[in-house]
Amino acid sequence: MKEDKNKEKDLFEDLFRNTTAESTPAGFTENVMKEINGSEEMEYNPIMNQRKWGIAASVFILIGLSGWLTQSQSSMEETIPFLESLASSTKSLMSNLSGESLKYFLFGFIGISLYFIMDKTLIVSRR
Amino acid sequence: MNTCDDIYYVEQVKKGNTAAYEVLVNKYKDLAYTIALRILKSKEDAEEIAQDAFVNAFTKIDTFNGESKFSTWLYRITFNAAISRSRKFKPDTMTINEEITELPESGLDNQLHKMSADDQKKYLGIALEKLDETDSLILTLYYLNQEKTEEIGHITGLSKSNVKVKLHRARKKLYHELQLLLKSELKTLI
Repeated sequence: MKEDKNKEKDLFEDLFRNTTAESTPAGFTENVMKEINGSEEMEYNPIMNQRKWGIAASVFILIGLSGWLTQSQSSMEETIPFLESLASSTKSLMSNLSGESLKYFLFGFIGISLYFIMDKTLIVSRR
Repeated sequence: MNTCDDIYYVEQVKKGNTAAYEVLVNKYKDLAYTIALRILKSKEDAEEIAQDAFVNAFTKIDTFNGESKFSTWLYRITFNAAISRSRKFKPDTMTINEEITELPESGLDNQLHKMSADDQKKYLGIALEKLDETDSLILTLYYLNQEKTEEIGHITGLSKSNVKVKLHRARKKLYHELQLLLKSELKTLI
């Protein structure tokens, strides 16, 4: 009985010796690394997040447009009611501010906007 | 590359060097894939599970404290993922009689030794596929990866003595399956 057991053991040792582990399909490592780098980007590097850039670009365009509209009374004011109201409110606010305080106001506005963008982006990317 | 190198690469990954993980993936991908394949018996599922296991291991790498080998830790993650998947979509399988005790008098060894390495691999693969997932995995880890019964226990969550018993039974079943296969092959030739 013990002889049979050893015989069986030897047979399998020989059999498996001639066999290697199954090879992974092509591109296995690349896929793993891509997934890892992707998840890492989402987790730790939200700067690269497209959604964030989209929101940031929209906010800066709005700031720029409203600033531009306060400088020049363009015909756009009449055609785009949203921008008109934004421009008039910005204008009335700015008219009450001196040169120095205007600078701080703009810095503050941009800072708060960026904070909300980053915060929103982090929540989205961690979800 | 030995286990000391593994620790070095794990530390590198922990420090944020993601590229170091590629070395570990390349080193262990084949056996992780084989483990998943033995359990799931589908190449597509095995690939997906093995990839997920590597990604999971990466995200949890801070919890790896080096008490076991990195490979053992990784294979356990792979094993658990594959088992969960197989339980979710368990196909109808035929169970092999547990009471196989008789050993063949005919020379299975001779028959197998006369075969080419490719044929041996083919028949071994078919016979392993017919076994229960854990039996097939234990045999693979024991013979193919030369894992000690203790390591196999860590991977599968079984006790050392349980692994030994299962290994003994699995050997019997594999022997029986190989016999059946070769017999039916012989019949088709006649």
